Amino acid sequence: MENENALAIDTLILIGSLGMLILAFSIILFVVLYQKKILAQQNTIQAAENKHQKEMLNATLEVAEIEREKIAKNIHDDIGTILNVIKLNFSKMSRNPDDKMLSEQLIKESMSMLDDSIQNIRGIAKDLMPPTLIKLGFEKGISELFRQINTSGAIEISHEFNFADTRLPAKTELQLYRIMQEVINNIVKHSQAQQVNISARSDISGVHINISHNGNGLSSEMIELIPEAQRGIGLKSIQSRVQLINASIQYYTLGPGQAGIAIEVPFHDL
Amino acid sequence: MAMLSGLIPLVVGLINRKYFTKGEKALLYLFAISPLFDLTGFILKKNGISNMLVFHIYTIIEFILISVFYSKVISNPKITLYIITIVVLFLGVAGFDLLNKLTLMDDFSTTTESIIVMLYAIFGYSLLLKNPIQSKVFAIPLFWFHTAFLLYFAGNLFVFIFSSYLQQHYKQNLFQEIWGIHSVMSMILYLLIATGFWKTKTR
Repeated sequence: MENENALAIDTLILIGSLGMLILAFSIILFVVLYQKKILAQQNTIQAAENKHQKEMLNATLEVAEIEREKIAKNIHDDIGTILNVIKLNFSKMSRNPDDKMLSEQLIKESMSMLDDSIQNIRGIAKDLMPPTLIKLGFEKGISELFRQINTSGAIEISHEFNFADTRLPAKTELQLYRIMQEVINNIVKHSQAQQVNISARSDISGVHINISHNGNGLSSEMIELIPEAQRGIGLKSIQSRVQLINASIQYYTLGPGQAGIAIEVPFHDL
Repeated sequence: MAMLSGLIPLVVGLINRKYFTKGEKALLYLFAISPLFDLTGFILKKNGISNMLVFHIYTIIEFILISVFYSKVISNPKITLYIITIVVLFLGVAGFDLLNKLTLMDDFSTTTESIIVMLYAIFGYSLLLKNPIQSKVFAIPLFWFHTAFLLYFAGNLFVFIFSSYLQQHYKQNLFQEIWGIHSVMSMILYLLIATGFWKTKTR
């Protein structure tokens, strides 16, 4: 009887141990499954990030191509044409060396055309690298841009700046300038706004810019819903430049005719 | 030894209590009162008085606090309603045990509690697997809590079911052996819970 009891106890302990062993294996299995899931999740995030980076790079390249096309068109249409006419004028003069009146007229015409070409070249150079921005910094550079836009009459821009004396790194200033240029361009093209108010200030944490307008706008949430492939080149270009300077951008709408964009450039990431 | 190890989760919990969620606070209360019950049971036993009443009352409080913990962890109104229903039903079972089997240990409430808490822990694991919150599973306090409850209550279930089986069939009193295994299970529980409490700081 005692032997039977001992055997029963041994069997029970064996069953119990086996049960606990299965439990331990289940926990190990859970750990393995968990790590696998985390790995899969990380891979998905990485793939999405890579895709996003690729799209941003494509957008940057596309913007560069558009810029090149624009410059080529300007050189070809304006400067090339004018220089061709000047060349024709010179050949006309060389064929008629004795016609002083014609020569004088052609020289006057050519001089005027050369002046136009110089203006055009200045314009292109300014477009490529705004001299005020390079020499005097973001505040002066962007104010100059707003003055030009206001003169064109496309839209009315009012601004209020409160910047510290220190200048931002050149790369940040240029990218910020391009972002502002693109944002204003988008507002003019898509929002049907008449008035844009810009306030910008810098403090110890960074640069804070708020651009509000009385047109139609999109919020960041609405932009998120647009598939990446369907987003405009301007929007992508803004995003890639924002990433380049580790800044953040927030699009918002406060109701009909009340929309804006907030840009934050933290100093610690510059 | 097992009684003393019961102080480990309490000490770690008190040190890290500022990092605790509401559910973890419920666990801290459980491990704060657990040594008191252990001590009371020990004193009663030393004086030759049955400590089964203390054991039954502790089982009820333990189940309620673990249920509170899981209702906070799951944080879903529908599941909380289910948990409340389970607790009410359990109180009925435990009340019956308390009135009828005051001096016996092979009660239905311990078995029920073990099965339900194991189900809670398995559900907790499935939630972790569904929504991984951290890259390293060992850094998640919930992992340690689920593991502690699963192992402890699975061990308890085995001990109680088979001890009552042996008692019924062989009329053999196995209190010594049962309490030996139970003490080991308790120490594992305390250490795992203490690890979970410790991990709340770095989650």
